[in-house]
This record gives sequence, structure tokens and C-alpha cells, in this order.
Amino acid sequence: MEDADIIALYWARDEKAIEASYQKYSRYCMSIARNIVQTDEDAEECLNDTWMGAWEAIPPARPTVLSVFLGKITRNIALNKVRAGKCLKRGGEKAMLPFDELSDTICDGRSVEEKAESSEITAVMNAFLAELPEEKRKIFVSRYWYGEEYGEIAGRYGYSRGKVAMMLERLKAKLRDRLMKEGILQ
Amino acid sequence: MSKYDDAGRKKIEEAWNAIDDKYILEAADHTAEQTEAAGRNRGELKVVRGSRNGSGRSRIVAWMGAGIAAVVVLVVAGIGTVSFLNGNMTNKSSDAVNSGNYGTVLDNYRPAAEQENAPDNYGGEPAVTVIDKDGLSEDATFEPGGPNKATYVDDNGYATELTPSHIGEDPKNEAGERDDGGSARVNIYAWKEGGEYMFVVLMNARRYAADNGERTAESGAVLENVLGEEEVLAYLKMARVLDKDDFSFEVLPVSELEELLGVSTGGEDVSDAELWQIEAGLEEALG
Repeated sequence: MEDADIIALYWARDEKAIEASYQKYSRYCMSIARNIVQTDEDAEECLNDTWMGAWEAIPPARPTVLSVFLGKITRNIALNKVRAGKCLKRGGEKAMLPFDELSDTICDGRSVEEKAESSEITAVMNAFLAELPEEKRKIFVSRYWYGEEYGEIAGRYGYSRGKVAMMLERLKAKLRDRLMKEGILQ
Repeated sequence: MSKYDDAGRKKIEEAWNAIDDKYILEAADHTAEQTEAAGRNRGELKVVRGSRNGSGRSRIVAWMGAGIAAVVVLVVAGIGTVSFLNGNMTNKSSDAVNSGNYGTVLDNYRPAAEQENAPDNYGGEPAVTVIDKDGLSEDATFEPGGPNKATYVDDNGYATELTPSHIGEDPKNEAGERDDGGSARVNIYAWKEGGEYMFVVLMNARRYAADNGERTAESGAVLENVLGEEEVLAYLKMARVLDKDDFSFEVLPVSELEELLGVSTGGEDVSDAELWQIEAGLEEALG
């Protein structure tokens, strides 16, 4: 089923929308959830909450990219679940590492300009990503948005873990510098 | 104050979560391909039974689907099915193993394609983690770099040396994370019952397939290798369970596996989630 048809089902308040979303994007959302919560039980819960979240958000939302829309819901739910300490023990703390890494580096010893809106910061981040070579950008997003481990990324791109780790360190530093230059960080 | 209470940090995290969809989609290319590959695997559930030639003393049950592979091996004395789920399970987790109960857990096995010298080099090194306190038997206690090795060479000439690299701890990568990404994971659970050793071998290649979605064809090939008879035999040989010439396979209905394990596989067309549940169920049952 095409995304537009699924979205139309949501707008028509037809519960088949959830079934269709599950059929098409459960694996995608599951992979996002598992990277964060690490256990299948918790990931399943995140998925169930994702469909509920989509049901509540559409309408009024009309996603342009349904997969990412659902993925963002899953990611938020999973992160909130871990941070609220509602996950099973296995991997819970470890799972936060990639997401903490990014904010740790950016916020280390600096404060975020109070007047800076999230949307403004997002715009700087998008500009930063746009300037990166495609492969580096994909690696950066794989690590810090999808929460993939170094080994996974290294395997996919044919690099050593050390090289991936070093590349990510440099990219984080570049993003931090960019945010400082734009006055987001002080 | 928790670091998550920091307004600035939250703002950064919110902003990052909202980056342009196209970058998120771009980085998910492999996920989409993996999804297709997994879709192709649906309905290809395989179940095989192995029996020791002539003796009828052992069985191998294996199933595979949707990018996940699992093998259950039971080695029992005498004839008939052993309901290991109701047995006296003394081994389950690494804690249990480390506490001195019988058992070996082989973890973090990397497929041949990950080795440095393999044509399709993923940059990894072959590693098998062995957590073994008492060993399966006195002569099967592994030592780091010790003599207990088994080598498996697949049809493409990829050599996999099954060598225990750690004892008593999980491997870590440079970031201190558990290092099992991009590879098949193998756990062998073993315990002693009635004077005989029993084994459950779980092979989970899901992450491997998921992590290498851009190489689905090769991943598929590796999956076959992981599940291949030779591969299984290599594990068993390393665990000193069986001799290669002393074993054969035959097809076993899924229903028999379900009955044997006391779990539901959801039929032959099982999903990732269902297989994860099976794995979790097995671990719980063995605990």
C-alpha cells in the first residue's frame, strides 16, 4: 500500500491504517527501537505506542515521509522510555551511549543560548549535514540518530571500528564548532 | 540534577531529533533493503533434525526465518525425547556459568566474511567468546589462545577459525560497548542431566543481516553458511560433542520443534518479533 493511501486511512479514522503501518514499517521502527531499548519486549511496547502515537497525530499531521514520521515517533518513545527508567535492565544504560555522546560533546562546558529555538538549532544542524560528503553524513546520522554501534557502521562501510570512531569524533567537533560560530553555544 | 534536566541539552536533543527527513531517510537506505531481504526470507522457515548415525542418540533441530537463524541441539543418552524445559537447568547466563555450573556460552561469533583475510572484508576479526567455568568436560575447557580450535571452510574458501578469545567476560569495542554488531551471535547453552550433557545452540544472525543490508546477497550467503551443516558440526566439534562423520540431518516439522521446546513459532511464516520472542522464551526457559 502506498504511503498516501495509508495516510488517507488515518485521516478517515480507519483502523486499517495501523495494520498497514505495521505491515510496511514495523521492521524499520523495530530496528530503531531496539537500538535504543535493546530488549525485544521493550521494543515491542515502543512499536505499539508508535501506532497509537501516529493514530493520535494524524490528523492533523499529514506526513511527507511516513516512514521517518513513524520512526521519529518510535525514537522519541524509546528514548523517553529509557530515560524514565522503564526499560528492562539488559542494555538500557548502554543503549543511551550514542545519543549521550552527541549532546555530551556539544554541551561539554558550554551553555546553549537561551533565546535559541530548537528549530533554529535544527536549521544549523541541517546546514552542517548538507555540507558533509554523503558517506560521512550517513555514518553520522546512523550513529547519532539511529543509535547504531560502531561495529555495525564499520561493517557496512568496510571501515575499522577505530576509523569510524575517529571520524565521528571529528564530525562531532565540527558540529560543535559550527554551533558556536552561529552563536547557539556559548 | 540529572543531565536530562538540563534545558540546553534538551534543546540540542530536540533539535537533533528534528533534522531533515531526507537525511534520516538517506541513512536508512540499508534498513529498507534489509526489510526487503527479510521479506524475501519469510516463508522459508527450515527445520531439520539431525541424528547420530546408527545410534539414535542425538537430535538437531534448526529453524530459520526472516533473517534470524536458530539452532537447537539436544544430545541425550538413550532413546526418546527429553523435555529439557522441565529439566534441572543449571546453566543459563554467564553469571550461572561463572558461578561454577556446567556450561559453555559461545558468543559473538563472526562469520567468515568478516575476517581480515576474507575477500569480502568487513573489517572485523574472528572471535568467539567462551565463558566456561567448569567446561563441558575436563578436556573441553577452553583457554584464551589455547589449542581448542575448530576450523570451518565454506564453499567459497572462507576460513573460519572458531577460537575462544575471551573467558568470563564479554568482548568490548573501543567505546566500551558490547561488541556484537554486524555479526551472527551464537550461544551454546549446556548442562548436565542424568550424567549426560545437553546442549541448546542458538544462532541469531538477525543483526548481521540488518547491519549489512546493502550487501543482502552476501548476507544471505553467510546466513546459509551460518546455518549450514558443516557450520553446526564445527561448533559441535569444538564443543567436543560429536564427530563430523557421526552425524546427519533430516527435515523435521515445525510443529515438532514447537512441541519439543514448548514454544509457539507462529507457524512457518514467522516474523522477526516472533523469533525474538522465541529466543527470549528459550533463554527464560533455560534460566
